[in-house]
Amino acid sequence: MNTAQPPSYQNLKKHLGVYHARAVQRIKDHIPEKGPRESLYDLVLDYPTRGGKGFRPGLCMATCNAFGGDNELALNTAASLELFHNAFLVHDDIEDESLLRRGKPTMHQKEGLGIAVNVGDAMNVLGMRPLMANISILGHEQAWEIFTEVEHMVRQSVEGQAMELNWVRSNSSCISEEDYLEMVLKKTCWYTTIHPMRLGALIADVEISLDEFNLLGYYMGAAFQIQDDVLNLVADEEKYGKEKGGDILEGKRTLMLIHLMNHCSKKEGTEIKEFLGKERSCRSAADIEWIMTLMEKYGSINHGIVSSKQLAGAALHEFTRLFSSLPAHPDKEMMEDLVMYMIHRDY
Amino acid sequence: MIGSVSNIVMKAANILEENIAEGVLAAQRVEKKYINPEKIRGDKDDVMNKFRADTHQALDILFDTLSMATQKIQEYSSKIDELNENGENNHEHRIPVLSLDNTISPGDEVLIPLTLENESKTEEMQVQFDGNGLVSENESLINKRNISFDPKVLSLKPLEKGVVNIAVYIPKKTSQGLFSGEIHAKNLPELRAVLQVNVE
Repeated sequence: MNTAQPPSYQNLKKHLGVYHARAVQRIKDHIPEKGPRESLYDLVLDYPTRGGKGFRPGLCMATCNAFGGDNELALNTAASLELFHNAFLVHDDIEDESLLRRGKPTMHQKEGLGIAVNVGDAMNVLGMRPLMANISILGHEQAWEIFTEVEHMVRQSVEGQAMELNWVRSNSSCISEEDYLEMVLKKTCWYTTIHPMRLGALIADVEISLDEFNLLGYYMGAAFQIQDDVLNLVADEEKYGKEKGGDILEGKRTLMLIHLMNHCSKKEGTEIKEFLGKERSCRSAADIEWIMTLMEKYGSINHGIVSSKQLAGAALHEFTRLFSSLPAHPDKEMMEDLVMYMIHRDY
Repeated sequence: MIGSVSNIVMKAANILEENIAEGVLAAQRVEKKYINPEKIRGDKDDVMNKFRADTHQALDILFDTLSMATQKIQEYSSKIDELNENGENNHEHRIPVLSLDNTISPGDEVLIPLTLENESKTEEMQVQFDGNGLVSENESLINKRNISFDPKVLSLKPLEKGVVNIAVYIPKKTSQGLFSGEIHAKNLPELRAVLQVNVE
């Protein structure tokens, strides 16, 4: 696999990193000075400072700037998005029994289950503080509009998570590509790409409808999620920061696993269902290899790669439709780089 | 490969549309559960009216649902009275409703033929229908992906008549009720009708 990236994507990472750092600093500003530190508030900063990609604050502030707004006005909202995102990750790691997050032990592995649940709760509560601060900066009306956007975003995420958890709990094997796309829309896209852009545009007071950003965000988010799931199967563990094949161990219904279950023989399908019905602790590295071999046999990994590229191509089309008439701006270029990165992303 | 490109992208676009439609339905359910719009509209000093002034985007959906519905019906009656299920003028039924006399069971598919006539003496006409899914009185939904049109694009020469067959598949878990929804021609916005199926 070629891991070298063109220089422009290094610029993209740097650009996103700047926005991420600003959002994390704003999160720090909203953490109470008094109260438990070691068991709560210090831990609130653990995941946000582990070096995430910064998509959500980046998309929010870049969209705001690209459409002629002042992204300083979007900083509270960006910080809130980052906090809600990390709260979701803390709880998601517990629900999925994940071991690693961004190359380090997950919160519940490191601090224990009780503390981890409470830290996730605290992050959700603290995520509201920057939104409350918006009232004095943006006024009641726009602050309320932002709040309603965030409410929708968070609710969609938990609904999508419920869909996925239920597939695992009920050991579902009859899942269609449409079911998967709906789950990804709910669990990932609304809060990773669609709402961050909608919020940035809202704060920039765009003249077009916020709904215009829905398709772009959906295509981007779905492409990225599928690519991330492919990386979980094929990427170098140390570089990727999660255990390789961890999604198979979790029984996560990725597009590749769904493709495999819909294309394998009846006998193989029964064996896969039996494997997915086991406790995670009873699944082994040999099981991962076996599923991987089947995925190779039926072209499931290639299907994931091709699908993600197709969605990324559709995202580029939507990006051009929305952004091409805007004047040149570093944030517009960053958004374009992000879409192009997904198209050219290598494994 | 090009075929599968549009496949997953089209699926995604349809699912987004369906999810947004379901979101609007959820907002309507909240309205019915907690708010009496008529009462609120009648009392200008009501706390909820003041609240609304600060919160229009979210609550506009809730408050304006009834008036929107009324406007839509007026639109149907004024704009497409020349269209009915048989493709004939019928001024007694000014709201074109395409429906079947029989009820349909979950798991079945029904075909509803729609005859159209190009009234122009000179221009060729192309019609491509689209719909938003069907909703029942108890707000169950039959998703848009269960409704298809054959042919997808109907071409009519001047004064020619043609038929579009509307196929509606009733998913197996669909609850009983009368389901209605709008269909419209993508390229002719004035060409709209209400599609109705009764699920037993």
